[in-house]
Amino acid sequence: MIKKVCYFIVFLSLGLVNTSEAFQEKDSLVTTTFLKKVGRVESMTFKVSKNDDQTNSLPGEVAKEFNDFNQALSYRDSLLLTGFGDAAIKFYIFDEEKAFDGVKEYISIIKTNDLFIPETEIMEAKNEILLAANKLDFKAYYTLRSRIFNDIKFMILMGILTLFIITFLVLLFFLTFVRSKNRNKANRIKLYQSIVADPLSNLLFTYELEEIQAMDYQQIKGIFNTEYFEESLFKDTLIKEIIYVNKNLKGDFKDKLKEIYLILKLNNFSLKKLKSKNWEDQASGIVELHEMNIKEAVPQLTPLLQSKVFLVRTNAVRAYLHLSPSKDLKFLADQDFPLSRWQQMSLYRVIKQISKNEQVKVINLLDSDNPSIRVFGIKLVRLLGRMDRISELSKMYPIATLAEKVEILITFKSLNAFTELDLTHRAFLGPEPKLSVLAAELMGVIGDESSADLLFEKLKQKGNSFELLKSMMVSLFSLDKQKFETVVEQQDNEQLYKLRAHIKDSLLAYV
Amino acid sequence: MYSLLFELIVQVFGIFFLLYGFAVIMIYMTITLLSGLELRKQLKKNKFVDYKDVITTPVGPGVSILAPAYNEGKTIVQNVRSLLSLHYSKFEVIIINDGSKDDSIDILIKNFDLRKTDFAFEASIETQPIKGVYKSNNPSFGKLIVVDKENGGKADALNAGINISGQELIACIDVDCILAPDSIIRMLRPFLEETNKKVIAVGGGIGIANNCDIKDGTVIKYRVPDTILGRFQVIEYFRSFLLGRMAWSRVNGLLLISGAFGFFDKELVLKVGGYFSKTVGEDMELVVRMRRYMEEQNIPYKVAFVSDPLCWTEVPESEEILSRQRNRWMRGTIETLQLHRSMQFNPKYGITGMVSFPFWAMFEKNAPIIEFLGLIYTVTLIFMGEFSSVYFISLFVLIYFFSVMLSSFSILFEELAFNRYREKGDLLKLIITVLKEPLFIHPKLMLWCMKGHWNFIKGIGGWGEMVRTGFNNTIKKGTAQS
Repeated sequence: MIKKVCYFIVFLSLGLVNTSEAFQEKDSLVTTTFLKKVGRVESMTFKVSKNDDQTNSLPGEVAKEFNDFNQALSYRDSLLLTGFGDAAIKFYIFDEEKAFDGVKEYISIIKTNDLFIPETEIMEAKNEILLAANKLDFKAYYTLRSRIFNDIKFMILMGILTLFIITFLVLLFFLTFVRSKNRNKANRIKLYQSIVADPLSNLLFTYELEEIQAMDYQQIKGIFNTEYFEESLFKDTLIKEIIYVNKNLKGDFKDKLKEIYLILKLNNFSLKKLKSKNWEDQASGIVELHEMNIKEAVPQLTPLLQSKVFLVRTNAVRAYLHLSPSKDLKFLADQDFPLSRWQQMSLYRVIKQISKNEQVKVINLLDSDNPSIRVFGIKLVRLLGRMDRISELSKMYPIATLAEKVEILITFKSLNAFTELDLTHRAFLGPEPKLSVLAAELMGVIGDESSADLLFEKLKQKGNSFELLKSMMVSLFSLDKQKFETVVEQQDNEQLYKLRAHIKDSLLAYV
Repeated sequence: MYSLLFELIVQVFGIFFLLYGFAVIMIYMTITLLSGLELRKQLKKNKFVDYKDVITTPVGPGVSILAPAYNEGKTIVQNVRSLLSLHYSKFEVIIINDGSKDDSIDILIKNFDLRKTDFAFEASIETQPIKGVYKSNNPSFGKLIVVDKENGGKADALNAGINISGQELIACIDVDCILAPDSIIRMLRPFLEETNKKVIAVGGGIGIANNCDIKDGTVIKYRVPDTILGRFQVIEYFRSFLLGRMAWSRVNGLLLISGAFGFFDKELVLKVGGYFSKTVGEDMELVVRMRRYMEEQNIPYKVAFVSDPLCWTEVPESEEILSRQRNRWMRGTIETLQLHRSMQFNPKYGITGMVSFPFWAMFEKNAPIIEFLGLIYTVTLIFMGEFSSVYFISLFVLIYFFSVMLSSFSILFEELAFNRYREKGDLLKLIITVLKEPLFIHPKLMLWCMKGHWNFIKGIGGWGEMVRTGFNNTIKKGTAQS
């Protein structure tokens, strides 16, 4: 390319410029190429004048000054063609004439210091950017898309949003699914209940116990006449129905139901649940065996008595109590876990049933190392009316815990333990306020004249709590009405007046 | 200089909102998870308990049901009969007529054959003067005690009831609530089951009775309410009881037991001085004070929650009444948190001080303020030219779907656990409400709560009027205490 330019310039100089004089040293290829490439420089000017270095030798209307070398060159050539053969270009930097070398040096310095970038170089750079840009696949939404995909925060946001939307949709689906599943299950149970109802009542009311006992699995299964028999849900529904009927019927019917349960091998189904790792299955198996009175299940129940799962343990203890031939309560006394009041309520129901036929050994509970079992034992003495254990309670009182002492005093009151008056007096005079209140109440039931004196004296003292005052006044009223009136009149205490009115009010007898 | 400072403030707020939003999402997701686990546990446990077995037990504790009444004359007889028919062997019903301006007391005297007695009691907690304590001449109403007193507000009335009560546990309820027949024994269970910790209070699940059919004091047919506000509250109650309280109960961090239905250990209530009558948030304040006492005494304790829907109440379906209720709830929350602010971030108070209390302060009390600031922040960004519509829309949609997702979880939990709304179309109605709530109801709620803040600052108190439309289309009007 450069070569072509050189040849072209040479051609022009030889062909178009008619005289050799017209060519000057400043017209050399190096000079013109260099200066053309440099272009405009702010502090540099070009003057076209006479070749002999005499400034302004050209007529005033002809000599001219240019900022652009190309313009100066064109003008000079036009002068040469029109006859001004000595016209030449001179270089000025800050109005001072310079030789070509000086110009080159100046240009080099301002380029090095970034004070000047030749126009040709700017053009080249622009061309490169344009070329690169043209290679890109440009789209109208380029800015938005690049922003979305290059912004990590935005991407995280969108990710979470997508997750929420998906979760919401999954939830909607799940909701619908669960609703439909629940409905299906409910419908199936309803269907199974309807299938079970007639054959079950037929068996109960048409057949005698002996007849049922003589039947085998296939015969009873035939009575139910259903293809669902092997389904777990059907078996569960059948067991629940049997248990429900069993709870509401008595005598012969219970035996029949048990026979049906056993012949259909539903006991195996329940026993299998005990071995499950799922505590829910274990608990439901225990309940089924308990309700159906399957005594053979006792060995399988034993390991579950110390289960870590509260509900399994509670139901196992209940079932064991009910099914085990031994009623010595030893297994309960050996329990490591504390017995909650809820468990006590539940166990009491079973023990109450058992105690109707045989005596349970409450004494074992009173000897237990577990304080909560001992408390339950004391409660059982009271609830089962075991007067024979009053002396045991009396013996354990001095070393008992506060909770046990409280239960012992309540039990003495409930059982009218007249033998324990001395202990009651000691408790009344003791330092524990709660025991004093209970003892005061107890004195109203088992007390004598000495108790009335004690109450009378204590009522004369100051600083008694309202609760204690009330219990003492109630007891004194039942022991000695005269002292009751006297203490109120003597003490002139507003609380005592109020309590007297309260105690005498028939509507407040039990409040 | 000022421009730079302003820029800095904007940046700081931006980071704060980001962290707050992140915390909200994380905390509520954790709550959802915990509540799911707790609900599963409770439902499994319920399968193996025959409550009928323990209704007549002589081993159970006695319960005093305290029901304050103010101008409930039109419905009080039916409500008291309903309470007296609850299934449990050892309980008493104490109705506290809190200076009603209507003829409530005369109606009670006439219908229950009451006579003024010389009931002696110790005023352990100071209350407004008691005019009389009534008992019935009819042994059928032997469990009923009616206390007639000067008006002093709900907390004062409850305190009077506590003074009179003679049982181990107290159940504080709203007299116009419908209780499930076996509600007492179900609520007693946590008190009786625990062996390692003292259970100091138990809260119960509350359902919305609007639009439901009620017969003999029992809800027999459940329907979602007809109005959007009613339906919104159904969802809100699901969220509150099946998500929030279940989760907090699992980590033993429950701070609030609804005043409409809560059981408490009487001895402890007396020790802490009963209800604080100078706050409108007396239910939450009592629980916080009881927890505080137990923490300070270093006694292991638990506040439990029973998810079973055992109590049914009518909710307001008009904006005016709902706004007053929310305003009051917010003031109650602020008052309680202010009263016990020394507990916040105090390790001495365990999970109460380190988790529950800061949660309530940050995400319940201050949420409306932060949301309002967020609005101002957005407007500021628009004026500064820093507003990014893409971010705004994305964040808005994100929070919207998060809210929708949470509400959907609560519906799912209800469906799995109780499945009460079985009518065709009920689920759809609830889902539509869930989709509408963040856009149309939540902003109003925030406004009402902001008003609660403003009223607290200005010292404007009181309960406001609660007009009830009545259960089962029976017109029933009552006025809450002032």
